[in-house]
Amino acid sequence: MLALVGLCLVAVFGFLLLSCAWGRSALSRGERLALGYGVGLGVFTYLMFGALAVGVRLSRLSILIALVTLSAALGLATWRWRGPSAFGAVGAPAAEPPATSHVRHPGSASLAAVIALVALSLSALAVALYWPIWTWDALTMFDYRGRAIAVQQSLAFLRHEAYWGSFPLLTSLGHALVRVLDGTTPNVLYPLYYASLLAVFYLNVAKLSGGLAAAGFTVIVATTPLLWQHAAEPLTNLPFTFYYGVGTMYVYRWVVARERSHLLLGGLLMGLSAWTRYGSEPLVLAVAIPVTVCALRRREPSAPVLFLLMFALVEAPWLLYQRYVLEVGPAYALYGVRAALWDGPRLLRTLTYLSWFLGSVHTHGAVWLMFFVSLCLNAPRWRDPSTWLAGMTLLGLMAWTASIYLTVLSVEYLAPTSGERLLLFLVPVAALYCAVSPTARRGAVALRPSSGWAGAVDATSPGGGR
Amino acid sequence: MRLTASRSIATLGAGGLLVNVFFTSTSMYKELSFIGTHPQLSRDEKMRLKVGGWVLDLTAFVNDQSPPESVIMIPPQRTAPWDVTGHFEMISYYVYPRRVVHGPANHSETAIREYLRSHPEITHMIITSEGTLWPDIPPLPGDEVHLLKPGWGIAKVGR
Repeated sequence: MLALVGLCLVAVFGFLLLSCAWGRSALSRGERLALGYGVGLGVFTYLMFGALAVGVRLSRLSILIALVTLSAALGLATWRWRGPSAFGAVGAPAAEPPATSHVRHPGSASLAAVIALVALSLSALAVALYWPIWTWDALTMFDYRGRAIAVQQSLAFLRHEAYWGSFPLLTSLGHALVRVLDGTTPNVLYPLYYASLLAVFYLNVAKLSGGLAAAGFTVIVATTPLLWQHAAEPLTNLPFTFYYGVGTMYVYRWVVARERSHLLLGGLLMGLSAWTRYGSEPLVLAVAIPVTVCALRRREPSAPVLFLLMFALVEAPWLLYQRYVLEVGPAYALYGVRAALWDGPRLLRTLTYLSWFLGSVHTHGAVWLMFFVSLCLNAPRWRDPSTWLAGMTLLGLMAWTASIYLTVLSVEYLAPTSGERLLLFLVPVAALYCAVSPTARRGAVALRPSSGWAGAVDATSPGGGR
Repeated sequence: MRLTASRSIATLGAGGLLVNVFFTSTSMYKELSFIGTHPQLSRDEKMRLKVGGWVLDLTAFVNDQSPPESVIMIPPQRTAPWDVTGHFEMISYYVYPRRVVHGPANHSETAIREYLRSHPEITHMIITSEGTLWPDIPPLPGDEVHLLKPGWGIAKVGR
């Protein structure tokens, strides 16, 4: 019960942090609520890491006091700085057209989708709460570290074994938080990530393509077999997918609307993805490259710098702690990087696995099939913002290939295990492209003639290719 | 042409949704029907279903026979023949808060005794017959051997 209160406080902390730093002009109340849990847990575990690193013990009382105090301080700051309305009404960003009427008054499709999403999230929660933690990596790494941190109130044990110190700590500190607050099932963290991801995805697609597309594509993401499975499994892949996928969504919002705060939020979320799982750098590069090209085309050279700065602000302290305090390298250093860059047969094997995964509808669902068909139906154009998203997805696939190809571990060992799970991170991004491509937007207009902005933001219409 | 493309993507979306719903609802049904028919299983029973019983029996026995501050030596490698009992991280999880260390790569009695002499912090040795008996050495006076069954158990190192 206390753990549940703690997680609610974490979500409130995240909501208030977003309200204070981003405000309702950048994020609607719904988005701040949906993002609150993930951002709150990511930032609060970072604060826990900072406290443990300087020797502060994290008792039940100190955690609750910290959460309440931080939330109260953020609430007061938001009240003073942004005014009382910051907590209330849904904001319509000045730079974007108003949300369509059916977003605020969901139609039958949206209602059916919401019911389906709640049912899927509750079923994942039931499975997560029923089974104890048993998955290999979860036992030996994430939950072990969480349990050890909760008992020892220290990070010193990470030095005993390079393996334990090689992975970032977000999920382990989440487990520690639940355990310190008398919780026995840290698995509860994962269905909450799943529900948050779906809510953020729905709200973003609703803004970009209308309620009908949002309803359909969110259910497609939610029913991706591997994603639902990971909603009940205490591995880092779903949290990583949340931070990376949602981060990419806000970077795309910056591409569409040029709202700098969205880019900063994208950078923060990308940084939190690096706080979740090792080896995120090549994957983040898949977003940073299109950001840089887009920014240079728009003569905004500071944009990629700010994006990478936000990312580095989160990643750098952990890397420095690993290097100079724990004296271990990150996991890719532990397992090694190939000295020889060219190995044709290895590249072929990696690409064979990739194509196999992309076509495996029993694990990755139909998202990839839809992505490639959408790509064929929509010729790339500079003026179409969704082209940038297609670029991020394709570069993401290349980054995945590089991640598998460049390590010293055998492809046959790595690809079918952690490689396939890792590929989950691109599912929301590919689905977002399908949902915002010109074909999908036109389809939404054809099915709902009065869908307002969904139809107005067309690549061929004035302003559509912003 | 555009409307045809939009209809294609709408049809594909509906088809994709059906494919996803089919596979996810199959796993969901399997999971939820199991939970519905086995609501009273204990944590231990659930773990046995997922990870197998023998490692849980062995580590529970180790926990019973050694104090929490023990340092336990396990086989030297987590590859065959000691895939599980030589798995440092996994055994560490099950016997927590006891500490775990790997034994020497050389399995001879002399090497193991020398290793124990040079690592006085080691208080116990796991005894495993996973593939091959380890440590395959006779106990010395002062060693306390506790067996769960022949070839499986824990020995307290006599000092």
